[in-house]
Order: sequence, then structure tokens, then C-alpha cells
Amino acid sequence: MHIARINSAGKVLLAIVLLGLLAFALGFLPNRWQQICIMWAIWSTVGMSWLVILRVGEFSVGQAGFLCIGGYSAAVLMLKFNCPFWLALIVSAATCAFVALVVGVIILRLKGLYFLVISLVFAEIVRLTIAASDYLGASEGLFGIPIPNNLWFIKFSTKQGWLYLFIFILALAGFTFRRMEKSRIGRIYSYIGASPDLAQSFGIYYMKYRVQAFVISAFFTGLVGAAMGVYLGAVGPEGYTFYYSLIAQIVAILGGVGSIVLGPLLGSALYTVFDEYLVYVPGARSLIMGGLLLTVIFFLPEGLVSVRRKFLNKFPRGFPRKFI
Amino acid sequence: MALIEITNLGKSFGGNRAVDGIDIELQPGEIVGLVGPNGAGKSTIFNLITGFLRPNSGTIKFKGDNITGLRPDQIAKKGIGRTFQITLLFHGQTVLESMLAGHVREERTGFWQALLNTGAYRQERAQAFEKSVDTLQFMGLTEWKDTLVNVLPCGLQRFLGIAQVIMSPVEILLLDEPLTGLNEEEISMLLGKLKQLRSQGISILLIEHHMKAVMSFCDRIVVINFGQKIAEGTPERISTNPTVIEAYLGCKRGTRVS
Ligand SMILES: Nc1ncnc2c1ncn2[C@@H]1O[C@H](COP(=O)(O)OP(=O)(O)OP(=O)(O)O)[C@@H](O)[C@H]1O
Ligand SMILES: [Mg+2]
Repeated sequence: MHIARINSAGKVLLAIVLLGLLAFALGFLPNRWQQICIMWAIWSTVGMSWLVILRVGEFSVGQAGFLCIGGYSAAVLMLKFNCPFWLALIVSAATCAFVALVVGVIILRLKGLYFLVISLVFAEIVRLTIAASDYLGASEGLFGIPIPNNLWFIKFSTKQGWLYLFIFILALAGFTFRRMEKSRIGRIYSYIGASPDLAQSFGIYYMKYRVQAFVISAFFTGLVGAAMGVYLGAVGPEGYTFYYSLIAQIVAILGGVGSIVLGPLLGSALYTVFDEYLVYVPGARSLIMGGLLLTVIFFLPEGLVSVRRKFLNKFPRGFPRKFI
Repeated sequence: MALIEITNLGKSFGGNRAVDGIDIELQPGEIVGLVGPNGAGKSTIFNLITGFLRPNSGTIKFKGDNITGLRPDQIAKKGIGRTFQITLLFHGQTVLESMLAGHVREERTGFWQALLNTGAYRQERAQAFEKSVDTLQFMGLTEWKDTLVNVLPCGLQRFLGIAQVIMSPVEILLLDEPLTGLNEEEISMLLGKLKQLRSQGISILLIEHHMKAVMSFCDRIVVINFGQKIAEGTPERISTNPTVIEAYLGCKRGTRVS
């Protein structure tokens, strides 16, 4: 195999080209499927971001908080400051990262169930504070966010344009998380997740890495949140409820938490397709979704990615099972 | 100058004075045993030295620097390595992967270099791998390098614990009951390794209930009971010290001293 010998820069280039082609091809899908792909990219990115926090040993139920901050900052920047879209995206993501830094230093001292609860409280505080602010449109939210100007060849007046943007964000997040996972960073996160005490005894300051993971997670969640807010044209406190946080976990767990990129990609694909087609059975929607989750967890406790591993195990010994 | 100098160390948990005015000194190159009945406060002393607990009173100096109240990671970076009484493991990692954890404090490249896989980062990674291969060889764990740590035989998990600590330079090793769970053969093997480490200039502070090993291995022994130092001296003098014998015979599991 020649591909195995291409160096890492070559691999990245190859991946970018393939991804570009894929995005280009997706752009010719019917509108409805483009919509599904957009949701797929959004929830994949959010699922990956959630997994980063899980790596350092924390179960966050607060991703909705960062989607909310991201969405609102983009809305405010574009509506009230006439900020160009691309700048609004970057500033919103940076805002989320900054909030995560300040909040993280405090709440990441808590562990286990305490962190779970405090992350939920954080997301609710964000939502309720915004709902109480007249500047931010109170309970009505902010609407009429203008359609952004074209960005190079991407036209935001079409679904296609948005699809390209969300795939780009997904690729950015995917590359970052994959590199993290394959490098020392990811390893250190796993050490801390497995045993903070042992990690500390080797001179690893666990708070630094926990906060780092939290900030990176918030950055990408905020970036998606900002793009999503502008895509929908409106942001409102009703949108950013606990359910958004839940989807992040659903897609990651469906896909398999063992794989930071592939897991959420698969989980999100299954989730978004079901979510889209379940509109035909309004009554049984949650029931079927719950059934789906249970089925996957029951038959594939390690998520959809383990299908691939089970399949791979049928190959003779020596087949590259683990790519380090 | 003493390598470690502990003066008047005290720690209470509620009303329980687990460590009560302890003084210990350790010279470079020395192997000192820390013994005492269960609940005497030995592990608590380790946790105080390594920053996992903060003392209520007293100071801890390392090579003349006051290290009292520093965080565990800061203390580890000074070259004070430790193991834990219960075997702590990085579940889900292979032996080789968890060995690399011990080398992190030596590595200088930061987040972006790791993310972008720069030359400097790759070089450090290669060094870390090399060092782990050497260290695994030294500890006799080479054939286990791709095994998940949680399925490693219990005795070898203790070996791994020490192997991880010596991945980066250490001046002193604090070993909390390293011989529990080892059979006689493994015990003599581990003691052999520790002697080799000592000949490389590493000092050792050893908590151990295995009296035969302590008596033959340590230069000096400190005996703790109810958080206080009740005796200190060479193994011969300790084994005939009446206070020590009484402290042990007054406690259920003390019968090991004979
Ligand atoms: N984190 C803690 N919180 C409360 N009490 C503690 C804590 N750690 C230790 N203790 C108490 O301090 C005393 C000394 O405990 P320590 O673990 O230091 O004993 P030890 O000498 O290591 O005993 P062993 O030989 O059984 O390991 C015990 O009474 C123990 O219950
Ligand atoms: Mg103990």
C-alpha cells in the first residue's frame, strides 16, 4: 500500500482534498438531504466537543450553554454592530472560550456528579440570564439576523453555502480533535480521566489540562452555535434548553465514546436521519428515539464504531487494527 | 545538607491526630524504612511530603528549599517520586502508553507544537519512547509493553508503578508498601532493582510491613506509632528496642516482628 507511506503533511492534504470533494458532492443533494447533512455536521461537532470533556473525566451537561452564548454573541454582533459574519463567528467562539476559562477554573474543581450538576446549572443560568435581559430580546430572543454576504464562493442565500460552512467547521474540529487524540495532549487527558492522583504524582497539573479541554470544547461548541444562530436567522432562550446538551451526549454515546472523531460522526448520522424522518410519526417520536438508543446500547455497548472493529477482527492477524 | 528535612510535622483529621510532631531527616543516598502498626500515620506522612495533603503544622524541606504547601505536581517536578499504597493505574492504557506519563514532566514542547506535530515535538516523543523502552527493560517488563495495564498481573502492576516514576530523573523515591502482593521471588527481584537505583544515587524512603525485607534493606529505620516517632536507628538496634516491640505486640498485626 502506497498510502501508508505518504507523510503526515501529505495525509492532511489528501484528507482536505477528499473532504472538499465530498462537500462539493453533498452540495448536489436534494434540499432535504442537505438539511440533514447540515444537522449532521452540527451535532457531530458538538458531540466531539462534548467528548473532549469526557476525556478528562467529566460528564458535562452544559453544552447548550455554549451553543447559547455562541448564538447570541453572533446575533448581537451582526444585528447591533454590523459585524461581518466571519468576524462574528471568530469573536463568538473566542467569547465562549473565554467564558469557559473563567467558569472552568471554578467548576472544574468539582468532580463526578457534582460537576454534572454544576454544568447543568451553568447552562440554565446562561439561558435564564439571557431571557431576563431586555438588550438581548428577553424571552422573545433576537430575530431578523441578516443573511451574511458571500464568503469567497460560498453563498449563504442557499442551503448549499451553509452546508459548506458547517462541513468546514466540522473538518476543523475533527482535525483538531484527531491530532489531540493522537498526540501527547490526548494521552495526558486520558491519564487525568483515569486517575488524577497518579497523573499529579508524575508532575502533571491536572487543573491546567481540565481547563484546557473545557476551553477547547467551548470554542468549537461556540463556533457551531454562532453559525447555527445565523443560519436559523434567530436566537431565543427557548431554543437552548437542556435538550441540546442531551443531543451532544446521545450522538457521542450512540457512535461510541472510544473514538473522538468517528464516534460522533456515526452517532450523529444515525441521530439526524432518524430525527428528520420521525416527523412522520409525531406521536411516537420520542418513543422510537429512545428505543433506538436502547437498542444500540444493548447490542453495541461501545457504540457504532465497534461494528467496524468487529468487522476488522475477522481479518487475519497483522492487519493494522490500531493506528498509532 | 539533608535531602529531606521534616520538622515538627502535624496533621489532624477532625480530632484524629494522624501525624503528631514528626521529625525525619534523610541524607542523600540513604535508604530509610518507615514502619509502624496499621493506622500509625505512615501513608499520611507520604501524602504530606508529596503535597497531596497540607500539614497543620511543621515544615518540609527538600535540599534546603521549603516545599511545604506546594502542589503535588510541583513537588514531583523537583524530583520527588512516589508510589501509592493502593495500586493506581491508568485504566485502558497499555503499559507503554502509561510509561510515557512519567516522562511528561521532562517535556518542554507545548500545546501547539503537539497539535501541529512539529519537529521538536516529534523529537521529544521519540526520546520518551526510547526512555520507556529502556526503563521497561530495566524493570523486566519489556514483554508486557502492549498489555493493558488493568489486565497486568498484580505483582507486575507494582513494578510498573515504580517504572513509571523513574521515567524522569528523581532524587528520592517514596515507596508505600511496594512489596504487598508480590511473591518471594518477585520481592527479591524488586529489592535488587531498588538497590541498583540506589547505586545510581537515588535515595529511598520505604514504608513496608515485610519486616525481613526492611531489616535487610534499610540503612536506618524510623518507627511510628499513633502519629509519633517512637524510635529511630539501625535495623539491629530497632529490632531489640523494647518500646518498638511493645508497640507492635500491643497491636493485632504486629506479630510479624519476631
Ligand atoms: N484522608 C483522610 N481523612 C480522614 N482520616 C484519614 C485520612 N487519611 C488517613 N486518615 C486516618 O489517619 C490515620 C493514619 O492513616 P495512615 O493511612 O497514614 O496509616 P498507615 O500508617 O499508612 O497505615 P497502614 O499501614 O494501614 O497503611 C488513620 O487513623 C486513618 O484513619
Ligand atoms: Mg498506609
